[in-house]
Amino acid sequence: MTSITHSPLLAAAATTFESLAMLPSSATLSAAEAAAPIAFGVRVDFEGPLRGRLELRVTADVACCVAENMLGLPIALETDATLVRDALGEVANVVCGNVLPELAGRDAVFHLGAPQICEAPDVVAPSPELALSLGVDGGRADLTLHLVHLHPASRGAAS
Amino acid sequence: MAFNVLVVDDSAVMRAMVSRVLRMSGVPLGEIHEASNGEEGLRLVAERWVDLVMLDVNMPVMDGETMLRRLRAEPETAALPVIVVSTESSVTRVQALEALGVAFVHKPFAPEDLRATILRITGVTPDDEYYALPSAGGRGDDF
Repeated sequence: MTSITHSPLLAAAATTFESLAMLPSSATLSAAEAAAPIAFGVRVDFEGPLRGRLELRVTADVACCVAENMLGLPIALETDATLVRDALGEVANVVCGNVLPELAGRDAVFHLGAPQICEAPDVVAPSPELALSLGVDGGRADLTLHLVHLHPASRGAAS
Repeated sequence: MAFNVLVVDDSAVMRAMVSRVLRMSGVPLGEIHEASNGEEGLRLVAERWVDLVMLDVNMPVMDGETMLRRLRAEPETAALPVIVVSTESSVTRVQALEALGVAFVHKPFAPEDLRATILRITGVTPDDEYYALPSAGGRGDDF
C-alpha cells in the first residue's frame, strides 16, 4: 500500500498509540515492518460535516501488544481475540475522534459509530482520502480515512 | 474515606484501563462498578453507593451526556462528582458538558493525566511513590 504521510492523521495516530497503548511509532518503516502481514482490521464509521470511515489494520504482534498494554495483562491471540478487537476498536475510535476536528474544525460535531471488524483485513478499498503506515516496534499499523462523497442530487433531496 | 467508583464505557478494554489507573492512582478505593452504557450506569447509581463516576460520552443505548443530565436533574445525584473521559473534541459539546459541572479528560490520555484529574476531583494527596504510573515505553514494559 502506498503510504501518504498526512500530518493530522499522523499526529492523531502517533499520539494515540503512544498515550493509550504506550507504544512509540514511526512513519519511517524498516523493511521488515513494511513487509509484515496484516492480521487484524477494524473500522469506525462517522457522520457529521464529513461522512465516511476510518480503518485501522495491524500486524498480529502489534494487535497483541496494544491489547496487553491497554489491559495490563498478558494476551493470547487465539483465546482473547475479542479483547484484542475491542482494544483495536478503541484505538481506531480515538484516532478518528482526534483527526476529524483537524479536518472539519473544532466546532464540528460528529457522531462516531461503534467499531466494527474488517472481515478481510488485508483488503483495502481504493483511493482513501488519507493513508498512513506506521512502524510500531517491529510491526505495522496501516490507517486509511475514506470519505463518502454524496451526489449533488441526493444532497438536494436530503435537504 | 474509600471511594466507590462507577466506570461507564461501552469498551470493556477502556473500562479495564480506567479501572487500572484508578487502582494505581493512590486514591483509597472501595468498590469499582462497571457499566457499558448510560442506562446501566443510572441503574447502578440507584442501586449502589457511588462517590465518583468515570463517564464516556459516545455509547449505545444511552450516551454519557444523557446520563449526566439525568444525574444532575435528581437532587440525590446532582452534585455527584463526574469525570468525563472522551474523544469528544467539539468545543461546543465540551463546553456543554463542562457547564454540567464535570472534569474533562480527553482521549488519548496519558495515565498520569487521568490520575492527576482523579486526585484533583477527589481531593486526595497520596504521599507514596509506590503509586508512580508507567510511561510510554514500548513492547515488554512491565506494569
